[in-house]
Amino acid sequence: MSRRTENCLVFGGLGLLTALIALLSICVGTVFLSPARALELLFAGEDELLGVAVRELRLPRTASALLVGGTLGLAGAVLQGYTRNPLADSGLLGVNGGAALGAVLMLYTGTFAHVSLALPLGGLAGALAATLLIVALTGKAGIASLILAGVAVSSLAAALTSLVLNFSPNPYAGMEIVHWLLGSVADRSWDHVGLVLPFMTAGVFILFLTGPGLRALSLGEDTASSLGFSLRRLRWFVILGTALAVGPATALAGAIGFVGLVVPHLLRPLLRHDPARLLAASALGGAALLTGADLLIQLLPADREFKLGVMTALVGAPFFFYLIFKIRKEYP
Amino acid sequence: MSSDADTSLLTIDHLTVARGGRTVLHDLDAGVRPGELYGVIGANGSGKSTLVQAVAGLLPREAGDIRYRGRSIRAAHRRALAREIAYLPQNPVCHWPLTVERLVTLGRIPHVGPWARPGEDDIQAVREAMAAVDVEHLASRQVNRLSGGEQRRVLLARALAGEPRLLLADEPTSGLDPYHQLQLLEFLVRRIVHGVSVILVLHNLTLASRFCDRLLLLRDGGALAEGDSAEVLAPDNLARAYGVEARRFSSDGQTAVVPWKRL
Repeated sequence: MSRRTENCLVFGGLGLLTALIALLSICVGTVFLSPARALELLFAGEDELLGVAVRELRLPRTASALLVGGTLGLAGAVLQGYTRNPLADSGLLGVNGGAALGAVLMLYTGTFAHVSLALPLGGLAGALAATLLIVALTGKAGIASLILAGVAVSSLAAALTSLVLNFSPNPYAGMEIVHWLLGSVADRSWDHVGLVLPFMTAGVFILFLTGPGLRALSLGEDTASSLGFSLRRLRWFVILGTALAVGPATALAGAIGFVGLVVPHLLRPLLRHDPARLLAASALGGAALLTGADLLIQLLPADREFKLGVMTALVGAPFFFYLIFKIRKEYP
Repeated sequence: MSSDADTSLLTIDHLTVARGGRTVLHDLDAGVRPGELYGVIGANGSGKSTLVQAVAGLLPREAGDIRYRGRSIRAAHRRALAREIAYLPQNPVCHWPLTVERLVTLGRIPHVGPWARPGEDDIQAVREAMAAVDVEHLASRQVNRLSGGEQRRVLLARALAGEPRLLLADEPTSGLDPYHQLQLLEFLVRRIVHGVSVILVLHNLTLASRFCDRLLLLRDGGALAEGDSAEVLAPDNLARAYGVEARRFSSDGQTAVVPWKRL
């Protein structure tokens, strides 16, 4: 099979799958719609009440799931390529932890009750603070110290989040915080999406620019450098892109794990382990996976809706077991 | 400045390089001529790898200069230099299980550019590089499933695929059996015929004396001797550089230098 047909199959298939899942997720809700009716309502006039509901309630939810999933998948692929470690994901840099802490602080202080966009804004501020701290800690050093800095910042953010929970003014505020941390894209509005979209777009763009560098990095840092790549620039792109893309994603949807770990893993063999082509594929795959998980949540009969982060963790943890078995077989 | 500055491909001029606060190369002068197999030898820690890494532009210089075709490599454009000089590190790796052909194609990156697809020229160069080290039959195999000797040849093909004028090879024979050591050196000699110059770091003095046109013997980051293999491998030099007594054995008019006992 030529490289071109192979690309067409993989990217066409993933694109189609993502589109299909997105359409289904618009059909599902309190009122079930046929796909044809859902498409019709998307473009219906203002006088059609159901159309407004689909556009203002269901569509932002689907868009949030697509955006967050795509970003997490892409960032996971970038970090696995950069560290050349299949167990890395965007959580490694501590940006998600920072974003979660920022949002939790907003919940704690009750600011979100007055300003509807307080949560994502807090998340953005937290992600920014975590990024600055990582940059200050790493300085000019290489990949190993970047990972160490990420682990340190993650731990600090987690500790501070626990501290906030510890001092939450009343049990309800505590519950609110825990619930938000479980991750969800339910009840997101276009305002929420609009707030994070510019940052995410910039971040995703920067992350895509790392592709050729990641491909050269397959041969190690020295060889990549001798092939004409600036490792310093590559590192800046990885840090900046992850911060701009994943911080806002966490601010929008809470802490959602495993997507960034699992998706690049599943897709890597389809792209013959090419770290550059894996980026776009992981973005599509992440979008499909998270939107699919959210669709599943809406279909499950429950008094209390399953949280998205819980769903991805429930699927992701067994996948981790599978990885261990696979690694055990490859390196006995 | 080196005496043969006009004829040399690469001139190393009063080079001083520090790593982690320690001066590894100190005021080193050396010159590589076009079309020669230039061996770099010396004890562990004498600065051999540091020298090739500095030439590859991987390390900052404290003082001195490295000139490629009369121009300082500091002034050269990164990509342009990558098209001229290829670097094969001491323990080359491939972190993902790529196929041999795709791995060798990575060597074309300086020519293809980051966003373009490999063209006809590139595919041709990749084929020639694989043929040069006899790995064509492995093209569709995954590199992690190959033997040590095959992997070394594939990674050498990667370096040759960029059609460099100068190849820096840091101990490419380490960990290989005698057959594959000889094979690898023969491949390098054949590249010389095709107009490639090679700087080769070696530990094996017998192979160095047999295959290298000229040698640079390093000791504590400085040049103890540079010149024809026979002169550089004089007993005095080896005693001072390695602290060993070497013996010479002759057969069919050729001399082999073999380290015999510690001094």
